[in-house]
Amino acid sequence: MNLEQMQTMWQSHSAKLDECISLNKSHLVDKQFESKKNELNKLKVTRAIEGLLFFVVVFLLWKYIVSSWELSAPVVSAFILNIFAIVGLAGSIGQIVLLNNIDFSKPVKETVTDLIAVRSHNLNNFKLISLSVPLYMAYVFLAYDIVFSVDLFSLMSAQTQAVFAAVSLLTGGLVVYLINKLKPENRNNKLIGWLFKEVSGERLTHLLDELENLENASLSRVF
Amino acid sequence: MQISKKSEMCPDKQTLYLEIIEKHKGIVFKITRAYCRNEFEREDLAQEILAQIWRSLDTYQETFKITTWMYRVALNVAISFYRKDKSVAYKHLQMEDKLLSYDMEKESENEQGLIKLYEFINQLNDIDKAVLLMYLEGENQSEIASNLNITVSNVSTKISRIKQKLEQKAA
Repeated sequence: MNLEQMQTMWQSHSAKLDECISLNKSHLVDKQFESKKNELNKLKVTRAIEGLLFFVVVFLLWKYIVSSWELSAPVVSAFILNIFAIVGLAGSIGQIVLLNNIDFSKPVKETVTDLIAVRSHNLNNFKLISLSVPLYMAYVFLAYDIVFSVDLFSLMSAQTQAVFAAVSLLTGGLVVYLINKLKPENRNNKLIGWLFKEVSGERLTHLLDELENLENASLSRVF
Repeated sequence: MQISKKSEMCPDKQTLYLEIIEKHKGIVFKITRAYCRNEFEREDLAQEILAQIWRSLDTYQETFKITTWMYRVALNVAISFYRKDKSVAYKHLQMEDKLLSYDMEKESENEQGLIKLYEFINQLNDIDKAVLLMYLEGENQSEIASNLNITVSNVSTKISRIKQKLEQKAA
């Protein structure tokens, strides 16, 4: 069979399809009102809930900072964590804006690029928020002050403080290294490939492959 | 035709939607059959395409042929729709409530040829499938390029490669 014969067969198939297919209209009417359940709407709702949670965290942290205002480890910790919560809040709002811009009636390449933008924005948010990992002691200092009203930092010996600082530095180095490597072009590395899929989802990997199929575009331009 | 946002739930939109889907249900069927490996995936993709057509109907403009517009929406969904490999993911689907049912007996004369044709389409990557589907529908290369937002020469190269694959398969 050549392409022309294929086209003839396809057109005869298309002409007969109306007789061969039946549409379940009542089920379709039910489904269209359930369209809130479709993928993009689910993502929007998830991001809205995330945004709301980040907003509550930002509000509570500011309340704590204002009520306990002094130069102490818990207040400085609350301030640091507040910055990350604001990043998270901005990220969730950004995601909703990008999701609202997606129009499935645009040409395929534009839609794929818009969907990749949503996924890579999410990946970048993750990278920014994961920068809080080396500052894990901020969570501990704040929790001790809120739960036990104890400033743990002031009770630590200089040696203990140095050990925690060294661990933070090491963790910081590792996190920066991984963030730097978390790019689509490094997907062949087992660890990075696994992290990339876990963080950005298999959908981004799939979309990047599709964009690559559309034209041999440089993927690094997207990020 | 620019349908107002206010028509979101009004009966006119519903009537128009049902009319369009009834008239062009073949497009949804052909795309789901070309992009999916099994019945569960097809039903899942058909639901997603039909939901997206409902959502996008407000922005439909008469500058496009309705079939071209439907092809765009359906292909966008099919290409961006990530299908999990595990059949477990489709257990929630109730197959007795299928949106589109196909009676193969009515098309028995072409059955073997069609099976081979869809087998060939299924072997292609998602973008080549889109190019081939539009080509088979009789769209010219510049229309295909515009629907995908790639160059005409890129479309031409893709069609040549598909021809080569077809010849290799026939040999």
